[in-house]
Formats: sequence, structure tokens, C-alpha cells
Amino acid sequence: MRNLLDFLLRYNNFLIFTILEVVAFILIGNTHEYQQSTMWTSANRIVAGSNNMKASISEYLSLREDNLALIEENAKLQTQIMELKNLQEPANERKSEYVYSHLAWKYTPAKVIDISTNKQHNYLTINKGSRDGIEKDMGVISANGLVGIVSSVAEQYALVVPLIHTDISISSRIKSNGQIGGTQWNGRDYTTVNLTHISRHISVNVGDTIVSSGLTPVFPEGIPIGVVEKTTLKKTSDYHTTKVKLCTDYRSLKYVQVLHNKNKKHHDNIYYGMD
Amino acid sequence: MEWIKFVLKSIIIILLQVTLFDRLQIQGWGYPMVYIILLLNLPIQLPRWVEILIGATVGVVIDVCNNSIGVHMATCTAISFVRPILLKHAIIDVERIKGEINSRSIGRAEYIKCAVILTLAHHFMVFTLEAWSLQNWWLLILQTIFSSIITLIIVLGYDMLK
Repeated sequence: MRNLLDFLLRYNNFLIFTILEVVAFILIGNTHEYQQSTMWTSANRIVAGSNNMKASISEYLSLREDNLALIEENAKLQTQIMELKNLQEPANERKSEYVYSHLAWKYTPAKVIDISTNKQHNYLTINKGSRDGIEKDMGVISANGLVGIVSSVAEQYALVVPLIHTDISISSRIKSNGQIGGTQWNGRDYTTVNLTHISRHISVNVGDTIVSSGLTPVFPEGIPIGVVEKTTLKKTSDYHTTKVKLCTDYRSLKYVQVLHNKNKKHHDNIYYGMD
Repeated sequence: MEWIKFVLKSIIIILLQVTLFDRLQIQGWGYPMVYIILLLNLPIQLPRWVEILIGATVGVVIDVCNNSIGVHMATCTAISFVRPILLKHAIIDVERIKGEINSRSIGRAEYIKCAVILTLAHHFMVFTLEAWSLQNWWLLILQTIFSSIITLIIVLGYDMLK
């Protein structure tokens, strides 16, 4: 016992150092399993509150641009309404509840109060949380296109993993020929992502639009992701190397919509079995 | 009194870090982490366990603001553990030095040497832990070098002005 005490007293600095490092690495390990508690993120009340204040100040300074953005968004929403009206009729005819149509989705508008674009693991914080019905794994879009997926939720705030995060991959489709691939960020340029798993016999052209595939219950089909900027085919590779210019400009992102899939429960029941 | 001064200085530098420097977009080449100045300049007489705890606390605060929980904590703890050892090797007569570490108290060459070593180590560790993989190792090294240069310009500039 005395020896142990002697040992601890002698190496107390090293002990404190080791304990703190172990704690830190456990915390990092946990974040990478997406098990993070919101207490240690910018969705926690104090940090999110101060970010909110910061956002409202800068918001006041850019009222003019905001107005223009809102007008633009209004126009887009109007066209969406028209599309929905057109969709509604055939859906009624089929009397099918499980069809993945736009009708199965509920939109919750939210404001971006904090965003990072210069790290390999970027996040954005939005001002809606569990109180507003936001849940983990919901899709997030903006007026321009796909933004990301909700990763953790606090009462008033939620944390979203955007496309520009090296651990995220979104099932996507080339609009013109329907081929399925995935997005993957290279960790550097916040305006582009790579499109993976497009086999070499398929033709990919510069200017092709990339949209969400609709194969997962997180996003409906056809949400724009980006436009092919550059594509190369190496002699030794089975897949195209395709660079996609993102529709969403993360540096100027202010308003988003969180998607709630009303049919997600049915989907999960089919995939993971009934409990 | 020294403590209050240190806490106020920390608050200002951390606020600058999370509102300004963390938001800098330099073509994806990382971003400067100027708050390292807080750990670099701590007095050498400080008990080592206090220094380690200060390092961990600064790290946690930065982490919470950056959604990178654990990354800066692990790095700052390691930096504050290594710093006294490095200083002992860099300076010949440690006992002579009183108060804060800066270029006037330990000499310009020694200060620059310590700052460069600690900044490079700190930045490399942060970027690696943040990515949590060595797959893009060339990007990690480029980010480390690029961000360290900017950090060092600011840190050494601050040291000269003071």
C-alpha cells in the first residue's frame, strides 16, 4: 500500500496526464460512433444560445440579401405546390399509402445558427430540436438542394452532418441515366464532392445532374445534389472518378428544411423486422 | 491577481479563436489555432499538474465550440505535459527564469524553437485526431504545415508587439 502511494505521489503528473488522455480518447471514440450526447456539442444550450445571438446580429446586417433569398425560395415553393397538386391526383387514384411520393414528407423549416466548412468533420447547428419533432437520422435540404442528415438532437437545437463530412455517404443517382452511386467528400474543398461506384461501362458527362436516389427513407427521390464538374477514367480502375459541384453553398447557407418521412416506420419494419 | 489576468486573457483569446480563426477558409488547408499562445506562455514555475489541468480545460472549451469533443482536449493535455520537458532541454538555466515564458525571458531563438516544435506537434495531432484516420495523410501534413505557418506568424507577432 505504501509502495503504491509512493508510486502515485512520485508519478502524479504522469498519472493525471494519462487519465485525461484516456478520457479524451474515449470521448473521441464515442463521437465517431455517432453516439454523442448533445451536451458536448454546439447544440448544447450555452454555446447554441451564443451562436444564436451571433447569427441574429449578422442576420440584421444582411437583411437585403435575405429578402432576395426569401423571394427566390418563395418562388421555388410555389412551383413545388404546383407539382404536388399534379402528383396528388394519380396518388389518390392508386389509393396507395406506401408510395414514395412527395405527399409522404413533412417539411420543418429551420435556421442555421452555426456552421463549419474548414474541417474534415464539419457540422451545422440548426435552431429546431426535439421540441419541434426533429429526430436523429432525418434528412435536411435547402432551397438549392440536399444539405445533410441530423446526427443528434437537443431540446431546442439539432446537429446536422453535411455532405462535406468525410464519414458521410449519400445514395445518389445520375439523373439522365438513372445509375446509382454514392457521394464521398475528399476533406478539402467545401464546394465539391466525389461520386463513387459508377462502373466504367457507364457514360458520365460533364454537366450531368446528380440527385438523391430515393433508395433510403431519409430523402425523397430527385433532391438535387450537384452537377458533374469533371470526370476521369483511369486505365486500371473499374470506376469513374467523378467530381461533383455541389448545389448547396455551405458558406452562405441560412435556411434549411428538415424532412420528416411519414412512412419511415413502415420502411424500418420491412428492413429490420417487426419488434 | 495573476490568475484573474490569465482568465481574462484566456476568455478573449478563446473568443477570438472560435469566432474568427476557426471560421477562416484557406482553400481547405486547415485553419490557424492561435489559442496555443495560452499554453506556450504559461510560467515555468507552475506545478506540472496545474499546467496539465489548464491544458485540458482550454481544450475542452475549444472542443465544445467546435463539435470536436476530445480532439483539442487530448492535444492540449499532451502539449502541456511535454512543454516543461522541452523547456528544460531548450534553456540552460531554468531556475533563473521568472514569470511568463516569452522571447524576452528565455531569449528569442529559444522561444522560436519551442514555439515551432509545439505548434507543429499540436496542429498535426489536432488534424489527425479530427480526421480519425491516416488515409489522407498527405492532406494532414499539408494542413499542419500551412496552418502552423499562419499560427506562428500570429503567435510570434504577438510576442514581438508585447
